[in-house]
Amino acid sequence: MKELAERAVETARLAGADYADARVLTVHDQQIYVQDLSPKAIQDVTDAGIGVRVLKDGAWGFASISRHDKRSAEKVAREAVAVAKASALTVWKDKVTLAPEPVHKDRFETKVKIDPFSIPIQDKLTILLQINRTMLGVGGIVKAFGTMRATRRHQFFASTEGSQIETLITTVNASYMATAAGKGDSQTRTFQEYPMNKGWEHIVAQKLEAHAQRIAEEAVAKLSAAYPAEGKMDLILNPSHLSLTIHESVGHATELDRVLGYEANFAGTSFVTLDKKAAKFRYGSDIVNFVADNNLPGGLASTGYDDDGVACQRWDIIRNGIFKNYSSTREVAPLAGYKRSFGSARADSYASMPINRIPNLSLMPSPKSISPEDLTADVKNGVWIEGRGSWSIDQRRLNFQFGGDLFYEIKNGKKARMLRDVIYTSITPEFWNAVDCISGRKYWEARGFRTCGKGEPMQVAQMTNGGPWIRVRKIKVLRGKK
Amino acid sequence: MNIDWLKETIKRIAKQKKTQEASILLQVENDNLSRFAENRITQNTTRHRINLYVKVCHERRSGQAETSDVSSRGVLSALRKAEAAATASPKDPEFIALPGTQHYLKVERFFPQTAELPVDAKARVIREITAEAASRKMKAAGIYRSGDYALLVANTKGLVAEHRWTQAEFSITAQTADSTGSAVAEEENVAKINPQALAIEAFRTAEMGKNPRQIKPGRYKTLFTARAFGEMMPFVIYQMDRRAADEGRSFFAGKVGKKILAKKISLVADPQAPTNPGNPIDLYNDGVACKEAAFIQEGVLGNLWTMRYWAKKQRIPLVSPSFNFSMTGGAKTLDQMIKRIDRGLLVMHLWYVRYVNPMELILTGTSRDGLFLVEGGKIKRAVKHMRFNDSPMRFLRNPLSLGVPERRGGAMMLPPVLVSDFNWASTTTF
Repeated sequence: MKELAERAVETARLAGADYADARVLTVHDQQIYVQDLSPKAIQDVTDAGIGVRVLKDGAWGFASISRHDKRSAEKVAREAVAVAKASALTVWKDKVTLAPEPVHKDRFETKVKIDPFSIPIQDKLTILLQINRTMLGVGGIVKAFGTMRATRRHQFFASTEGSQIETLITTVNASYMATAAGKGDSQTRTFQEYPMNKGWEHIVAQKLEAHAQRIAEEAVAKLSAAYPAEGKMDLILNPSHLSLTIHESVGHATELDRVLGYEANFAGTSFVTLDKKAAKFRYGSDIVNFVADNNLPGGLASTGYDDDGVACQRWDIIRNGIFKNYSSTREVAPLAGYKRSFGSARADSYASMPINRIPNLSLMPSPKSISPEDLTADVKNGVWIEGRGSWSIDQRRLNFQFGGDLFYEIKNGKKARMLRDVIYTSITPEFWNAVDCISGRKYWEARGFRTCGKGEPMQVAQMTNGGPWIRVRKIKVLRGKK
Repeated sequence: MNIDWLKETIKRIAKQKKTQEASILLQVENDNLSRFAENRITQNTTRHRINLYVKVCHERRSGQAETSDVSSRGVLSALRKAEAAATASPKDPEFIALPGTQHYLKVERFFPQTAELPVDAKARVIREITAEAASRKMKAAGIYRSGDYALLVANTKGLVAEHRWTQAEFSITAQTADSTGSAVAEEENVAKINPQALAIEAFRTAEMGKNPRQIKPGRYKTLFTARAFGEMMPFVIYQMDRRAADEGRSFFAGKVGKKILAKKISLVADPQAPTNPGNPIDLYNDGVACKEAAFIQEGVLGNLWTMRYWAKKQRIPLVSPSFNFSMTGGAKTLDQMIKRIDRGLLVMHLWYVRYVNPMELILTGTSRDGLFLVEGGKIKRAVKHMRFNDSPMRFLRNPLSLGVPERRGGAMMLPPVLVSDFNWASTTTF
């Protein structure tokens, strides 16, 4: 891998590149899907190739090929330079300048106690089929689905600046779902996925089988649950649910490339414009603290270095409710006055050019030992929401609407009857300013995503969006039905 | 890599002792995507990608492997991995043997001028358009993509299929200080795409969108452009799964053969549709031949897409899943439809559409790149964007008018649609 990366970078340099980097990558991905006791797919995927990115006259070029040989490395390096020369036809000002980064010669590997690929497929199938069996044994369940996935991404990065970085990243996750149907209606309940950069030990720790009966029973119970009253009320949100709200309304909103208009054609822009930093924009209430930490143990973006070759870091996004910083790449960081990138450039394969992605971004817990029940005690009329459901946010990350997976009414400080089809809607800063209490560290969870879509061509990225339980006051609740 | 290579490879695989049945699928992609923003190219990505998928079946078990290494050693390694996966699997109660020889519809979707479009030719178009944007004090962002693609499938039971096509796409979003406008076209033949005309459309919409005012959310007569309507319809098609309906877990449960939409609405999938050709190979069903299928006929729910196992179990015809579909429309242009509106909204584009309630097919999303108040048959002013919560299956029961269908997303022929009372649920701030 090292030799191929060096060859590609040197070829690009000789072809006239002002800067070049190469990523030689092999991804091994194992995915198992089980539905209604039928092993629907047992897939073993090996995807390998070389991606070369160059700067020529201040413009980018990128070329990739699904091969690992010297001739291909040279071919795509020369092609990337030719593509950059075409790009330069449009660049008469605002030439790309990369934020400086020290030269790194390093190796980073995910800490794995038990190699997930060492676990026999039979053992994984046994777990998923048993969960299927348990859920289908619950009266009213018409569909059971389960999945397990392990991925190992082995990359060698080299650049004309001299960096040479080898990374070996392991990611695992599992989830399952039960669907109940009856009387012309249907409801689904999901054991929410909890992906992490860890080994098989993370799958074991989740005790997947222990929850199957409850998940299926809750799916059935949702069929006869009451619809919520509509209007403004208080919300109690759990970490699995909140991870998506964080992701959409803070994570994407604070990607610097969006703010600068790079995603205007598809993923959108952001309301967190450059003036917000100097203006000390109040994003949330005083107790709202968001920290990006790409060194978070087990975090999905904890990769040692990003795909710009920038070392992973920890930084404030929002402190005491005030907006502090964006996530960035080496390209966009200087455009907001940063002297160094925060290291958020990610490509989803050898065939993709790195773009600005959400880091491991977490809402920090309260220093006090506050429990979810403590949060609920002060709610007269509200809704308790667990897990992810429907989600949507406008293209500047302001108006959002979320559903969930499980809902309970809260009456006079107590969790009461189950509800169904709850959605809530708000405007990002109004929502985060309405947060008046946050649970303690004991209840914080490092939830995350493996399928965050962005870019053209569309790329998927992974990141952790951890959070505690929170209480939010007077948010508009609607029924998700006609 | 060609079909002869694939035939030879499947012959070699057939000789393997462990494998009762096997299929291989080769996907080849050569494309370039020039991406621009802030009036310059910001990314320019060229890909040469090959992926080989191997599926093996024995004793009612199956396993799959995928590799980008198509050398003899790579293919053999993938085969071994697929065999190992199949061996590890218990017998599948829903196992279905691989299909045999198929007769494929002839579909011509390869245009050399698209495959051969040079990167610098696209850059020159982008330079011209971004310069025009700058002269109008606008910022332009978008993509210009072109490439050639191939799908080759073969199995040990004699199935052999090959489909090669090209695809080009140009899209643009024009930005002013307080508005955006956008336009997009996607075609197999790049000659059918006029980037300059699309740019003018985006500039015009952005110009019209300046100084938007907030209006109260609520139910409004609403005219969807074909593009906006096309952003909802894939969510309807995805739900058109026969098994989900038969199991009582979809909107379409118990509705087959019943009238569910207005009589003027028919929805068909046809790979040979002259203005909307599609892939004739069904990748969801081990490479069987796609056939023409009517999902809605004069408002009556006809077929739902049906996988091989379910078709066999229920003794019903297999209907290939397809997002390549065409819907009936009317004779009016969008401008003529606007003239019919006494008071209502024109929505150019929808964004972040998602299910709210799949059983009722209620969707949510927001307007984007132009939401306009229409009064007295004329566009009166731009309004600030809003979020909707509504079901296309509700308003398609009685749409006021359907316009001339247009090709959207390179796969759908859809009309603009005027409806009487679309539910705009909340507002945003821009």
